[in-house]
Amino acid sequence: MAAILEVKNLKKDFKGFTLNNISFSLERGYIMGFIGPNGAGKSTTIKLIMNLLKKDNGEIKIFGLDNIKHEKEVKNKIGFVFDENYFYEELTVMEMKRVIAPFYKNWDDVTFNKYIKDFSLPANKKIKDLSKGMKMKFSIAVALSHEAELLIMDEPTSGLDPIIRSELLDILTSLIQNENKSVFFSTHITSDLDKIADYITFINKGSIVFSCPKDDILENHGLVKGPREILNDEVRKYFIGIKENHFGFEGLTKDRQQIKKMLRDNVIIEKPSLDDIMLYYTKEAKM
Amino acid sequence: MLYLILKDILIQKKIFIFGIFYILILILSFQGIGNIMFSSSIIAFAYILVQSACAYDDKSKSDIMLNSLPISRNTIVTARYVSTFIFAAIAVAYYVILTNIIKILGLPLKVYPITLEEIVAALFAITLLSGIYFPVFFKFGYIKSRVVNIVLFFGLFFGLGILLPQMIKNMDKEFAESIIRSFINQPDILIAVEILAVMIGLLVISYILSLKFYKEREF
Repeated sequence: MAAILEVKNLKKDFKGFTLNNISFSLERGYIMGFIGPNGAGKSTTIKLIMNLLKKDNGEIKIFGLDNIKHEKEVKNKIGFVFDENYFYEELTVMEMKRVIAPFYKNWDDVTFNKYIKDFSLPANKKIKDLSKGMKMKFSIAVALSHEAELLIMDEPTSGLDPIIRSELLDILTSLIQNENKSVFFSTHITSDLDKIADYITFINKGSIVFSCPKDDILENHGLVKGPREILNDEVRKYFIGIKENHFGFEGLTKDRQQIKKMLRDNVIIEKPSLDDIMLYYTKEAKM
Repeated sequence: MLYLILKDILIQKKIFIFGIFYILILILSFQGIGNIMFSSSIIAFAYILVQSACAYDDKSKSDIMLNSLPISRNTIVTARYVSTFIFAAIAVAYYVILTNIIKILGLPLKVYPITLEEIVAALFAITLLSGIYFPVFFKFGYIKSRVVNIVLFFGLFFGLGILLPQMIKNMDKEFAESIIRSFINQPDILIAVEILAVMIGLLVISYILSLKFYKEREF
């Protein structure tokens, strides 16, 4: 089956920042985490997908359709959650729903009301009086009430407390039980993704560093600790980045097996977290 | 599109209530000035509503939200133009109701009936204002277009109230008279058609520009 989201050689030039021919694709039934430091190009990519920015070059296909030629059709099946509140603060939850609902072909009031109840959202409170967590939950309720097949989330967890974050992750996990649906989820809080993501796409300075299954990434990469003496040029080649101090070194390798073969018992190899991986890759880029 | 206009009305609930007093105040302050009472009230009220709808959209950064929904940019632009005339219609309704209440209660206030000329003048002014304002708004957003807005709003009243009579006074008398004569000699209906044609022409150009600008906008 065709990918639910396919980005090919996407390019966008700004003053001082370039999104550099990025490509990745997401299959149906999976959650993809889109990670990278602040300013790496995550929001730019998402805005290009939503056609809020005009691309300079490349191709974006959603449900196999061009995102601009079939804009309306595509957006009917996308649920979006952004990091900030873009709803009308002056309206109540129900009024806002009344304005938004008619635009979606498959809006389902029953589902929406169920979420409102589940999230204990106050239906007649103005949006500006909701807490940040409540606003996010309202966005999610809207995003999930029109039979969306692709959920696009831009930093949905930033600024939320751990309890609400974990609730959100539960919602996403249960959503993905339906194999027809996918989630594309940008964040710089990678611990959220350790739990739920199937794929990780890592962007740094406008370029994709890698885009692969999370388990492969965590298995192939290794956090290596050992004495400094064993670091020679041959060994260094296999590292993404190395931190050295008086006592020894710690480094991230892309090829855990090779390091194991070369250095054997001289080093300890640990499983890195996504945070470690992001940290080493971005540091390397800085050097 | 209807729901976009509904949204404009919902977010401005307060202004609609406030509008009753606003028009009342205008009626009071235009005592003795004459027929201009009606058109001024309508123009001012409709324009305030348009402005505040744009301001609310800007404040909520709703361009991002609206453009993430399955709504085409055409619809967003069209809704703005249509809502202008809906706001004008609401203003007319307020005016009619208020002046009738004043008459029925026999309050010692002068009210002026609405004439065809007044309606045409009001519509023309609203078309002119929004026709010039909207392309700027769609190109630059609310904040940056505020300067244009102020210039337009005061320019209109200033222009109609002071400059135009001055210009007519200073114009070559014969030339002015010939223009006026040519208007007077035309049947009313022809004048109405001419004004209508100018209005439609202005709206079409303005609409095309707005569409072009808004389609190129990035958020």
